[in-house]
Amino acid sequence: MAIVVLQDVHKTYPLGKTEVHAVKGVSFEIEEGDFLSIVGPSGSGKSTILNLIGCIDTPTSGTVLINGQDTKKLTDRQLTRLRHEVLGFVFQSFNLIPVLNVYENVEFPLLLGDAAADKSERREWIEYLIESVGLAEWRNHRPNELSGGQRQRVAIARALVTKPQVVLADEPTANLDSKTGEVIIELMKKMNKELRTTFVFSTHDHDIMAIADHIIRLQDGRVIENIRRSESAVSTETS
Amino acid sequence: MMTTVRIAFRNTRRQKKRSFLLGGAIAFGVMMITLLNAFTAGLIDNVKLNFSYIIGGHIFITGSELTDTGRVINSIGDDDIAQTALDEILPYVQQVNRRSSSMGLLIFGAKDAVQRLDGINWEAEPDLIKNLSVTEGSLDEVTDRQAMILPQATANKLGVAVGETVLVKLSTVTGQQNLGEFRVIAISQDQSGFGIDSAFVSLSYLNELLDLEEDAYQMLHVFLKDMADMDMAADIVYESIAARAEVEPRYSMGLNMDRDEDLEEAQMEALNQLFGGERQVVEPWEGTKFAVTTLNDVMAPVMSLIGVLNTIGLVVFIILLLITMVGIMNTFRMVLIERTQEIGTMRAIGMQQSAVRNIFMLEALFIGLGGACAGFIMANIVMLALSLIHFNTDSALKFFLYQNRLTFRLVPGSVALNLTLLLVMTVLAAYAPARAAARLRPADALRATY
Repeated sequence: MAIVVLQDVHKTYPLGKTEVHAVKGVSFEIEEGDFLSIVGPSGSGKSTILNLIGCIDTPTSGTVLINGQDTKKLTDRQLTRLRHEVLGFVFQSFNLIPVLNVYENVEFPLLLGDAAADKSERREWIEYLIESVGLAEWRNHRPNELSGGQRQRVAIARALVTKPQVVLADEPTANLDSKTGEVIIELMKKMNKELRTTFVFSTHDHDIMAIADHIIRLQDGRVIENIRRSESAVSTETS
Repeated sequence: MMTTVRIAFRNTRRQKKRSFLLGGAIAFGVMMITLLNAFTAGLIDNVKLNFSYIIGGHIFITGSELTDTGRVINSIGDDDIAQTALDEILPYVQQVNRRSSSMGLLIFGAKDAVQRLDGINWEAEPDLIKNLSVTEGSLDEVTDRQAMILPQATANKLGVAVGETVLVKLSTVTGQQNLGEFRVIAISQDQSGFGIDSAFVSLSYLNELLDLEEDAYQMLHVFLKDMADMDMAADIVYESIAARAEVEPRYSMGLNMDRDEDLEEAQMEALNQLFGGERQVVEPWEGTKFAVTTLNDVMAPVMSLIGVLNTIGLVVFIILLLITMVGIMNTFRMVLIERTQEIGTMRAIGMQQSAVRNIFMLEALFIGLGGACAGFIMANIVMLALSLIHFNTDSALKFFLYQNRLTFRLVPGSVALNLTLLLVMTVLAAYAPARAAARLRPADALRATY
């Protein structure tokens, strides 16, 4: 079942007196449980598409459906709630809250919702995530006391804490060395398998995209390749 | 909400120097206004206390009667009316003294001095004997008809010693000149510290010199247990007397600058009764016409001056606050730029606009609270230090001191008002940047590179 649907999506930005046409009529679907890599050179529209899927930006034209909801028709408040309930984010430069420690950063999204979950259940879940990303000993440290790889692991745990249906990661390994980058992608894959969470990440690292089971290749704001791999078959669409 | 509070609180410590400078500016303003308010409140207390020593009470009931020849004399002929009124405020009363008084010219040899004389019924005022501080002589013979206790300053001026006799020239209530002779039995230390103490003499002898009945009196001096009850108790007494006798209009001075002319006249009339000034008969009356005066009424000009001082202080405080507000606003604009990406992150994760705005406003509130607490503590330290200074002065400055020291009194209402004003203005200053932060589009905020 498609959890994210993009239909003929265009996005233009004003840049001084001119306009930049970042996304030009993109259409594709993301299935539940996908481990999707959006690849392409710089300026190909990867981040813009992730922003559109992440409801932190709206398309100039076309439709973005998240769980069947047209994001263009939602108010800011509804979009914020949708982001909180359905989506998780992992940023290229980690974007942790500097005044909160590891535990508090992971806990943070849970405290923004309306639902009052059982406290001990919540604590157990956070502890499980922190342990899963290998940071149990660092739980009381603040972001400035962690390495880049550790920070990104905190970001992954934070993205998963609300049990989102989709986690969006914008070049999650760009600021990491290749070895740490691999560890992070493996961790994401592990979470994808264990929690059945859909992962959508952008990258231009060929080693990393090889792990993905669904690849969308972009160039100049257009999808040039949409490859879906499975154990038995590989389907390829090109445009 | 706790997360918002936690983040806001921790944010205040991210730029310690900046928060310290902002809080410091707020602390300075709070310290100054707290000091000024406490100083003026202490000043009022001291002036009232010192004044009450001089004029011997907190509420004064005076009476005037019209003679057959149309002259006005100061006397309370109908004691029952005043007594009934006093019974109504009995729980608040510490002591009631019945006195006559007059200004007289004391003559000793070739020297003379003008002195206020208070006629005392010594049997009724044993506390006065206890409280009088005598430097020379003794009070053993105080009930002697012609005994006089002379203040030190007047004794020095006349060069008179204990046991010697002074002549007193004064006017009777009907305006005749009269002469009396008093023997100085003791010299009293300056009671009020202003060198304007009364000389104490026998009530019956002074009445005789004033041409009053032996057991008559001109004034009831009421000392209350708590000065704060003064106006309330005076109003009760006034209502009670007004129901039974002629009474001068009561005026409430306080800090009211818009008094009408009738009340101005009434005020002068009452003060004249109290201090023995010129009297005018506007309309004739029968029996005793009473006037009720309080220490607050007498002190109205001083209170007005202090009120002006407080107003100036408040204006200066508001100007300081406005300058601080500009500082806060600029600082939070800078903070907004610094934290744009962070705001984008929080919004992306699911924080609503209102929560982002609250973080900024709470941060301003915490800085304001911290500054206010620091300013309040600093003010208390300065007050303590200033109150330890002993002023060796014999000047009029003594009027504002208590035992030669400055005193400070914190008025909870003023403190609460100033702090509320400060916190409201601080939060208001942060509102515009906070709103701008909340309205940032998450995608734009995350793209920000500054």
